[in-house]
Amino acid sequence: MIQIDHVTKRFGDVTAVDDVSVVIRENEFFALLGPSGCGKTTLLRMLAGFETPDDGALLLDGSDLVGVKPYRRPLNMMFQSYALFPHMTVEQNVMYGLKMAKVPKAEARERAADALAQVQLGHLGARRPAQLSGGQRQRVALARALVRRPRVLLLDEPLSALDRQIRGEMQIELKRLQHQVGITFVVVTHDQEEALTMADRIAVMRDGRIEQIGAPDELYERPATRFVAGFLGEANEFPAPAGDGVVVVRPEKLHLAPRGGLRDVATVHDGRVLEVVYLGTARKYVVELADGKIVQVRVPARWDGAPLTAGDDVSVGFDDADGVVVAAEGPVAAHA
Amino acid sequence: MLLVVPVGLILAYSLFRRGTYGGVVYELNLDNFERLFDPIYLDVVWFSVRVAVEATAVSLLIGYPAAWFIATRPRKWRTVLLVVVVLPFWTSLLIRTYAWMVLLNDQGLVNEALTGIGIVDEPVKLLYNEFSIVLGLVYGYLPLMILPLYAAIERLSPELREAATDLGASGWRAFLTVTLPLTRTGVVAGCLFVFVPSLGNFIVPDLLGGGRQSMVGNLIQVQFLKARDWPFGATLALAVIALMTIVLVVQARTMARDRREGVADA
Amino acid sequence: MRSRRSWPVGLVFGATVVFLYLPIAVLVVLSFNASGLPTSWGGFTTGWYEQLAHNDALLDSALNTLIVAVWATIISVVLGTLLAFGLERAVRSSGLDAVAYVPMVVPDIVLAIALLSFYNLVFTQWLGVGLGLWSVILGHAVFGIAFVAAIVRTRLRHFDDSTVEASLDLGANELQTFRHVTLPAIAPGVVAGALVAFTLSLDEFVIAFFTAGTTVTFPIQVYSMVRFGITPEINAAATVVVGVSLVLMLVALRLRGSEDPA
Repeated sequence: MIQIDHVTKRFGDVTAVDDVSVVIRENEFFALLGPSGCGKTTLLRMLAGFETPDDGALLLDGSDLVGVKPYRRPLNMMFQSYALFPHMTVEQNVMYGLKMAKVPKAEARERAADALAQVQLGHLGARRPAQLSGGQRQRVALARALVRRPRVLLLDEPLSALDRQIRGEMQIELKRLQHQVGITFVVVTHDQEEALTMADRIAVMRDGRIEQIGAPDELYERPATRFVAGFLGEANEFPAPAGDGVVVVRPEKLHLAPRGGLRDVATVHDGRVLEVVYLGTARKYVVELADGKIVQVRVPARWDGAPLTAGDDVSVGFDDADGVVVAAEGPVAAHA
Repeated sequence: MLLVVPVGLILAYSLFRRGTYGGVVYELNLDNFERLFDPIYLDVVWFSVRVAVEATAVSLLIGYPAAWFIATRPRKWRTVLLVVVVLPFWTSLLIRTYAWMVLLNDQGLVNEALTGIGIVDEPVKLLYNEFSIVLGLVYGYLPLMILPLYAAIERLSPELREAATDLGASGWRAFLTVTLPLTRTGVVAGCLFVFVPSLGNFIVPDLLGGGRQSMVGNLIQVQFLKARDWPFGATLALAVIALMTIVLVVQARTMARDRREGVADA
Repeated sequence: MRSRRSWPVGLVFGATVVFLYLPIAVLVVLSFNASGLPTSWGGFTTGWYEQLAHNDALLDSALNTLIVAVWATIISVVLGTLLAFGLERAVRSSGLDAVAYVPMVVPDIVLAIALLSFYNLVFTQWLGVGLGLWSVILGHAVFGIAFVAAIVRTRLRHFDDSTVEASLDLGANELQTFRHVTLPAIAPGVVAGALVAFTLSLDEFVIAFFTAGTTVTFPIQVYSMVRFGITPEINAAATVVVGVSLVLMLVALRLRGSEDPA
């Protein structure tokens, strides 16, 4: 169990991590999510031992890691650039950590072979990193970190360098691996889709602070702040009934019908369709409301039925249970 | 620890350079500088500059097409071609200059060829003049011109040229208005690499100039080793350094401008 | 586009290559020419080389040159590599940067007299030590360091820093990391730098000429011989020099080529 306790890190007059406290549970797949510059990578690097906190403690199962050199910590890291040693073969790369731990060569060889098999690269031991594809290199980096049997695996933007297609596969792969190996994974990512897909719990960070921690569905359906709402997905904002704050509703939760056609819906606003975007799985309607606000409605696409088109007058509505009230201050995160 | 040694080294080096100041009498005086402006010496300096400029110009004229050629070959040939061009540079300048002495003298191969073919009736005075010095300098430093030119040309996207011709520029105009300006850093670097060593060169004018034509380099040598007038020799050296600095500043400015305009990368 | 413009350019290139190699080729051929004259061929002979082998003055100077080159290279490699690390990692000053490149750009004669003045001031007048091979070694080291530093720096720049962190993360301490990760990565650069420094020192004339005092290096000896006039023996000596330099450079290239595809 990792306990990050009031940790602060400053670089010059920039506070990268500002009094952050988080508990990461045993065998959890934990994600640190946020835009670039929010401090998530710095936090990860402090766990690994490459940065030292100015304040606070980093407790791993009760003992403070601060001041302990990276090579003495029972955590291992998978680097964003994979950092494979170019002058060594794949096998030598994977065995490196074992060599440093003075594991006898025969045993090291065996363990390395097992690790490579675990990531489906058993046959590539003799190759050099330069000869591998991006996805393969990443798996070598994983194998290299895991072969040392760390208590925690730290992953720095593991999927950012991969092609879209492979990314999806790797997301599932990583999840499977984590279950199989049975240790804690801490992942840093700026991609909310990745976090939502893989993590058991997510900590959304902004400007060095944690905005909210929770399970993916918790964060998505019940965002605590405007920022979290906007970062995790498209967030439509409606004026709050009580007057302070805004109501956030997800596009797929909005009901859409020709003007006046909504029944049994708690809140209804009138508007006009500006644009219809066909997404294959759904249609996205960009609607301008009477008060000038723009909202997006997502409706599963049907082959039959006459969809609405640009210029149509419509009614947009949502049920009380689907709206979340958040404070109106704070930046709206740009949703990718 | 890693800091101290290199810094110390550089400090020590700058001590060397300071060592060229002042007179043997250790009085600061400007007499040497006045002497510098004496026509005899000015002539030598001017001659040196002229020769260096000529050598640079010739190198550029030959070097650019050569570099272009290499840069437009298929990738795997390029390294080989570069090696071919650069290899001679790694042999001693002394030896290579000597080779020209052999070739250019009255009984040398070139004259034999010329009289043999019948272009001239008598051996031409190819040696011990401005021509031979410039030739020697070009020969010595041409590879240094080609390398940065190649680097600059190679970095150029062929699409830029194509865009130019698509927009109506003829081949030659496309070259002048698009390619040449964009390879400006390479051109400047190459010229620098030729001009500077040529300016202060000693071997080439000595061997191929036959003592009749002397450049600054020779003059410095004379002052230091024969006339024992170290201070004046130092003054001459400073003149060379001054000229060099001007050229370097121009080069740095051009590079900075290119970087700002997004043409060159650091 | 390519086929249209390539032939005149190709011609220039071809002529350039000929231009570059012709003189050297001529020298090599002449060194085997029994007649000793550049214009008439008197048959193949190795006689001039034999004469060379008996030229004691020349051989002594060759030995001196070798000594100088070896020592200069050792100093250049050690200090040059340190300098490269210092500049790339520790110091963030473009001024220092530029000064490190100075020895490469400055004309050798300026360097030579600067060294001579310095030596004279510090060693001769103050310490009373005469000039000799040591002064040449130091002089060569000055530009040798600059070259090695430049070459190693390029390699350092391409070096992925995260591999150092990865190594630390995997259980290696700083020393082990240097040995297993950093050193192999820069080794080709260091070797290339060493070869460059060595070759440049072997052929270097101007600095040696000014700072050797009464000792003589090979280029200096050749220079005096040339000053007396062209003799076939010099051709043979020249060919030897060319041969050695070329071999060294080709070795350097083989090493560079086999290490990085970049």
